[in-house]
Amino acid sequence: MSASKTKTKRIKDQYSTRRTVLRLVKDLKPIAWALLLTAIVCGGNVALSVIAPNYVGEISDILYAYSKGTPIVEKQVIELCIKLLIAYAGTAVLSMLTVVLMTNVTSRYYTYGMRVRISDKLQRLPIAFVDGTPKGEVISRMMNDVSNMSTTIHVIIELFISGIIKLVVIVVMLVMINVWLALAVTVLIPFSILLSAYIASKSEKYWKKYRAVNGKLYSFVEEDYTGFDTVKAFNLEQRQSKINEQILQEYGKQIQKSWWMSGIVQPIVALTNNIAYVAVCLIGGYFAISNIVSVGEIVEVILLAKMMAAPLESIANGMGSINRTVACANRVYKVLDSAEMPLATSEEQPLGKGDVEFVNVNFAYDKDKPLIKNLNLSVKAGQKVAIVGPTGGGKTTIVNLLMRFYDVDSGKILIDGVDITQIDRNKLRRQFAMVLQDTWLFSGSVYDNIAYGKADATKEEVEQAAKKAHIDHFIRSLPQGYDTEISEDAGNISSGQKQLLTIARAYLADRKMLILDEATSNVDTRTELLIQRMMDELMQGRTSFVIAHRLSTIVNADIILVINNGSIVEQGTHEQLLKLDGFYAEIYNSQYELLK
Amino acid sequence: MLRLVKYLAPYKGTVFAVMLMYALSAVCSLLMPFVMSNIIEFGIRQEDMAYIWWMCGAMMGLALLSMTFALITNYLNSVMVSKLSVTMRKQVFEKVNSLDVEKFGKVGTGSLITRTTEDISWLEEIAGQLPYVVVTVPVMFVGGVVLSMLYDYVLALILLAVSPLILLVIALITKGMEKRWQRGELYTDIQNKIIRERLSGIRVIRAFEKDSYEHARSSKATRVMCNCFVRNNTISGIITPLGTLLLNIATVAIIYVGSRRLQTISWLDAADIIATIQYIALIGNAIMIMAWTIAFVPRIKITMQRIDEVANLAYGEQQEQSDRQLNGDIKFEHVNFAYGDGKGEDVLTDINIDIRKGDVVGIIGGTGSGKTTLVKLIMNFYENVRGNRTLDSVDYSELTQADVRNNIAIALQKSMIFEGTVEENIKMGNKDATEQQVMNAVDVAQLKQFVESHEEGLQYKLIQAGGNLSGGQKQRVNIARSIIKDASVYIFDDSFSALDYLTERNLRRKLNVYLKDKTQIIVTQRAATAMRCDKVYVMDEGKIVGCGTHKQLLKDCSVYKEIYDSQLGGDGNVGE
Repeated sequence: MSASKTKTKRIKDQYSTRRTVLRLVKDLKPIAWALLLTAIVCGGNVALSVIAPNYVGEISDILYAYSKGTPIVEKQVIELCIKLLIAYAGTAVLSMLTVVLMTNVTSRYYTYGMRVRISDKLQRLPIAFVDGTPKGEVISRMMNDVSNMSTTIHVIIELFISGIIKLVVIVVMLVMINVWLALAVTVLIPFSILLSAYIASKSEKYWKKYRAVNGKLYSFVEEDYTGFDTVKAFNLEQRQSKINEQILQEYGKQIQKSWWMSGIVQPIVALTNNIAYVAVCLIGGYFAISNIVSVGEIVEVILLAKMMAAPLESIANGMGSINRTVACANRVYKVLDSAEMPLATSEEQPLGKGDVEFVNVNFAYDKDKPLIKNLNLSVKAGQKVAIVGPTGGGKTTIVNLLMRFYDVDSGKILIDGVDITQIDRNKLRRQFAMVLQDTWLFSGSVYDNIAYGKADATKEEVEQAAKKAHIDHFIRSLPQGYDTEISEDAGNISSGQKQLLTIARAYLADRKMLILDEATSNVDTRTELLIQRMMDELMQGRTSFVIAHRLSTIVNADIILVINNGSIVEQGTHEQLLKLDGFYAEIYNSQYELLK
Repeated sequence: MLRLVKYLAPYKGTVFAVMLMYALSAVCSLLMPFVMSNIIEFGIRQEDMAYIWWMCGAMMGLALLSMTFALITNYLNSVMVSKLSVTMRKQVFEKVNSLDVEKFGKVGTGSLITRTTEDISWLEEIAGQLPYVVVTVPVMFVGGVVLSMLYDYVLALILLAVSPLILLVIALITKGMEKRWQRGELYTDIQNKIIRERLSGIRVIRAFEKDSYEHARSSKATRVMCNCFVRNNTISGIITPLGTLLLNIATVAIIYVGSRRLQTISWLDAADIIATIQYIALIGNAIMIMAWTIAFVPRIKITMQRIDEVANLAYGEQQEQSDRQLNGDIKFEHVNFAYGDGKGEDVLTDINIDIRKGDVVGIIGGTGSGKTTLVKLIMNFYENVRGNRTLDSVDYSELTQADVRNNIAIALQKSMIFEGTVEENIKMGNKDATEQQVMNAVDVAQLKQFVESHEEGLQYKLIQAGGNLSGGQKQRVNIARSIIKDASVYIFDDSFSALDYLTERNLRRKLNVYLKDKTQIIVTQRAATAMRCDKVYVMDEGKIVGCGTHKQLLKDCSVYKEIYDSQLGGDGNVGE
């Protein structure tokens, strides 16, 4: 109990704001050179941009002196104007360079690099993670969180590199002009920062609430639209509208609050700036009358004070977004930190005969609900094993364990005498071809989908496989033939045809062992008859595991396992099991029974 | 943009108040340099400290006023955004739900989801900024020009020339952005699709060791997407320095021209030039914000189009209620049907069915034989159906959707689970059902064991899309949902396919008692399921190729016999 407590505490600490910010900074290492370059460019930019007010001040002095009676020296004005133009042009060029550097290096590093890292991570995550995480959530990490991260990182970097340099230089310039004027301007800065940071942290609370209700709204909409037929069939439109309205009511409230809170910062910062402006006019006016500062210097101070507003505002925004960045970054880091599949402990090569043995295997998805209990099974190479039993009884779980999609909790699975946890996953899986009930085709051509299991397959081999699976004729009837693109809602391809494509894929892959999990459940009966022959041929000499509802397809299996509630209740050939007159016999006979 | 204004129309009052406040706030900001130039001209030069105190007091007042206006605007604006967003979301959601199945399918689930969620969020953001842009820029601009006109018309002219120039430059450099946004979004979709595929197909991918291949595939889409977005962000990032440069050039121009005019025009003062320089800065800030918005106009346009496309779709279905009780005699005569405005190839040809109250009817056939389409026509999901369809001898065209769907309950082929408890999911079929009724439905649907295995019982929480249920469990929840509905016809579209024979037998036994005297239509691929019906329609390639009892069909219908033989061993030994 206490151990688990410290563990959660540690995990919590690992994702504390401080640690996450440090980690974000560390993550910037590969682009340190670009950041350095950006810093140099920014430095130059700041120098040029603070010189400009100085020139404007000097010109103002000349103009002011004229109204007091001193004539204007044309050459002096032109010279200053040219200097000013150069400073302005330089600032513009360097600013653009900063933008180019920032977006092309930093943004790209995050928007592209982070997403590729997540994508890369997906390769190594255990299937349990994928099964237990809604797909939308992974995509939202990859899209929304990463993009929030990169936007705010952008702001934060810009702030630290350019904003802080700028502030410091401006303050130095101000002090050089007049300490009191500098004080009038700078005394308000900490106040302004503190205030906006305070408001930002306050508003973060509202943004959190807003995002929560936003997530709720989105998932509700998604659910409604995916279940559109159901909504229609049950006349649920009004019910759904009502729920939608309820969520929207809350949504409206939260969005209003968060907009209000985040909109407060700007007017308050503006007020602080205006107060500084007034203070400069007042103090400056007094000093000008006493001839301590010139009018031009007042103008310069005012221009410098204006320049201060921008970095100040971005500090305020940056403070607000740090929390948001940390929250987003944490979600991303949590995916990146998820435990990966353990590697094989040694590199023993399976013999490739195909003997399979389960020894005292126990397994549970949920630790409280053991599913496979003390399973023992011995299959000789080339045998056909059929697994039957009620749904939810653990049939598919056996496949999950065999393919090491999940690892056993205790006990061992041996292939040719080698414990499969000792075998590299890829090597292990290379022994199997499988066809699943949930046909999975990716968006790509029909050809690529068949050739999926054999990258170097020739055109003839692909077509041969399609012929064997009795899908060649259909493919040829498609307008683009083998090049037809399969899309998400491929209306032109039925679920049966999809399944035939996966059968062709498995055929082409030509592996030592076969797993057929309801492989022909969507295929129409006539085709199934034809396929069956090919399947029998395919299973010849291969150890195969077949899960099927249609018992006619498995009566000739070497071993039939009857699984109920996770354990094998009966085991034997079809004849033996019928004679036993137990559970299998009941299942078998149930399909012939008429109800009346 | 105009379209967005249309959506803002109902909040005219609020929008105008927001705009007025922005205008006032802008005027306050403009007056600050004006007062300041007076301080220089009359305070400092005349060495009148009292005057300076007065003027600074006035500026302080202006600053406070400006903040007050800004805060009021902020409040009104937040209210407006919230109202607008809620109304739009409500409208779009309800419009989508009113569509018929065909129109819905045409736009596509994914696209409709984005339109109802992300797209509107994006508009929210823009709508909140719109009044500022629309008001502040013109007010600053006009105000600045008018105030500098008070000093000298030449200076005012320079000011006047700057803004269009900036807008022109922005328009030029943002030209190619629209296409890139579209491309970027296209590749975002592609990337997400591949990731989705990788997650749903993880077993197959791992089985074929294709992880790295899939990783490369999605990374490629990510790269294209990023290239588009980075390029566009660079362009919109350049707008600010470029605009600032133009403003600064104008500043230099004013200084230079001002210095010349100062020597020729007696009423012009150095303080006036200093004030004009500050107007430029103010106008400049406003223009920058406007530029930022303009940079997004192409994107707004696309988003607005996407939303309008939905909003402009005709209401597909009448939402009226109905108390009409039907017996549920279904008759189809010579019905033909093709998807997509009836232009495509017929998926159903010459369908004749006659189903009477109390019948237990099976519809059997392979995949793609048209079974589900036939069921959807019974549910009246599609228009453009040729031939006669009647319910209780009333033509379908004279019945409302509610008439049809209140009297027919269906468990769809695609089992749908909504986030919520088991009970909530079942009660979607009949919101007034008592707990006893729910328990009965659970019992019939063979869910009792499942419900009892969870501590929470009926309150067991199902996650979105039924992620914590097996395929068979999802089907049974759907069955329970349909049978709890008080209807005269019950359709089960391949609803037993994920159930083993034993469970199916038990379920059907109970079903026959529970739905006594009600019509059952059972769509299936299994001969064992069909043979327990009173009458079976056999479908093949969109036609009905046989109709009768199991025994008759075994004798007369070759398609049926083939199915039966392949599935049940073909020993012809029919247990009775």
